[in-house]
Amino acid sequence: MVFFTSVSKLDGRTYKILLAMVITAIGALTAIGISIGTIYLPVITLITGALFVQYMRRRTNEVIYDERTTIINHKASAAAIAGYTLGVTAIGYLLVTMGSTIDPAYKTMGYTLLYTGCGLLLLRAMFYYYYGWKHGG
Amino acid sequence: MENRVKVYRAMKDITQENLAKSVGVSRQTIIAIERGNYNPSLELAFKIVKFFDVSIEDVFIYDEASRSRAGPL
Repeated sequence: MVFFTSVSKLDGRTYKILLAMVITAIGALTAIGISIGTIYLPVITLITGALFVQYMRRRTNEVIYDERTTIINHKASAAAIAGYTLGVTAIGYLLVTMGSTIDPAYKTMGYTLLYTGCGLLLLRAMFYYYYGWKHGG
Repeated sequence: MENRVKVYRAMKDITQENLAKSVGVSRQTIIAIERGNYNPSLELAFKIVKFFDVSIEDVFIYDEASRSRAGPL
């Protein structure tokens, strides 16, 4: 009861500390789940963590997310997409080349990586056109 | 774009936190605006000038010569 009373008055700093703890716990439990070979632990952890973060967000007495954080998120996402795409393209190309010379298994891995990069770009393009259509222009 | 948010805030004698709460953004956003690191959206700019009860030109000064490094995008 005391916990929920204090949670209902979360300030921005407490929210950030709790968020860091939740993210750490999610990462650790997901890693444990993968290492012991169960899908349930990561899934349950992710869902519980997301719900808890949503709950905390609603209980904060400060504005945590606003137009500036939205822009920061957009820029971070764009940079992450660019970085990931460049990375998988380079590594994928390298693996495909290694597949031709060293071991054919590398070729499969390389193509898989290249296809995930293409898939991400395709998804990004679809959302780009969707939001372009939704917001006129 | 330059702004006089800090000046008007000092004139009104209110904290960054109170201004942030009044216009519905985080304190970090007010800090970023005052430092010139972030250009607010039109909506937020109007909220700020409405809070100070002045016109938008009094607070935000658009200078085409000095190209902004602040964004918003």
